[in-house]
Amino acid sequence: MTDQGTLGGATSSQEISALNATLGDEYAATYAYGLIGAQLTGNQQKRALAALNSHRSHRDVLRADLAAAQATVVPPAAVYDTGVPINSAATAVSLAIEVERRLIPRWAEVASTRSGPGRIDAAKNGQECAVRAVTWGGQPQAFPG
Amino acid sequence: MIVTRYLSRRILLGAAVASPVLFMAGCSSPEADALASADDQLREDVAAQEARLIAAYDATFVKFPGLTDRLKPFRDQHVEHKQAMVPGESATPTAPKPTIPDSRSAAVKALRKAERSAASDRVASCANANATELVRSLALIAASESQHGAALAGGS
Repeated sequence: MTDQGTLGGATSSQEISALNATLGDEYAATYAYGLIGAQLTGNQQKRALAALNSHRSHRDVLRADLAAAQATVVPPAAVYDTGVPINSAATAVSLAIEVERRLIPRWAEVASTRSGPGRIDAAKNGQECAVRAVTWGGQPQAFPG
Repeated sequence: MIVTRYLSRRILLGAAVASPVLFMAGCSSPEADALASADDQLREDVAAQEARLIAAYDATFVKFPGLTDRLKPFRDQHVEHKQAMVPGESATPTAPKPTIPDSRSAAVKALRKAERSAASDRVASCANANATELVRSLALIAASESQHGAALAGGS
């Protein structure tokens, strides 16, 4: 059990802190997509559900990686501040762009603390969030976040 | 080329481990020098790839000026990527003149293909980088280029 999946052995304190910071924003994204999905219909709602599932799965992998490294796993907050009330399709979509954009530098940070397949996974997770931000109508950015 | 660099780094590290004398002599750290020089090469390679993307956009704008307004921001983001890799160098690309398809929609499709391939190449570069800061930059550039690919998929 010394080689734990993507962590591949010893886990640095930088990596643990990057994993926990990313986990915090994955919790926030999971929370946000619950609100977002409720304001959308049809294809947009389907897209919100797919995004919710993707963030849930990233959250679970992060929690498992932290547990495998015997590190403290930050718990989710009971409630997250969305800035403005999410009460329309427009506010829902702009929250979706915001939560996706916020995660891109988080995953880049995780990538920078890892090597090998764990780094590639982190970079690809960042790309997933980046693509979703654009699919929701956000403009591409040179250094997203 | 990337594979060669990766192997040579492994061989070097292996040699350092196998030879304690060489390793202990590491105040000047030949192995750290090798990693830094591999990073420099990686930066040059990525900058050259960014220059090719910039040239592809420029040639597309010459042939289809109507695309300029919408796609110029993407082109300019590649200039930012290139400068982040090799600072101070001119933003004027020196890449060979690309061939642009004869229809506007095929031209956009070609750019989309180039962006997708760049996004995937950048993940590979990210995997081969050594310095933390370079890994982080390449992960963000990979994300940016995947955004371009997605945005270009949304009609022309």
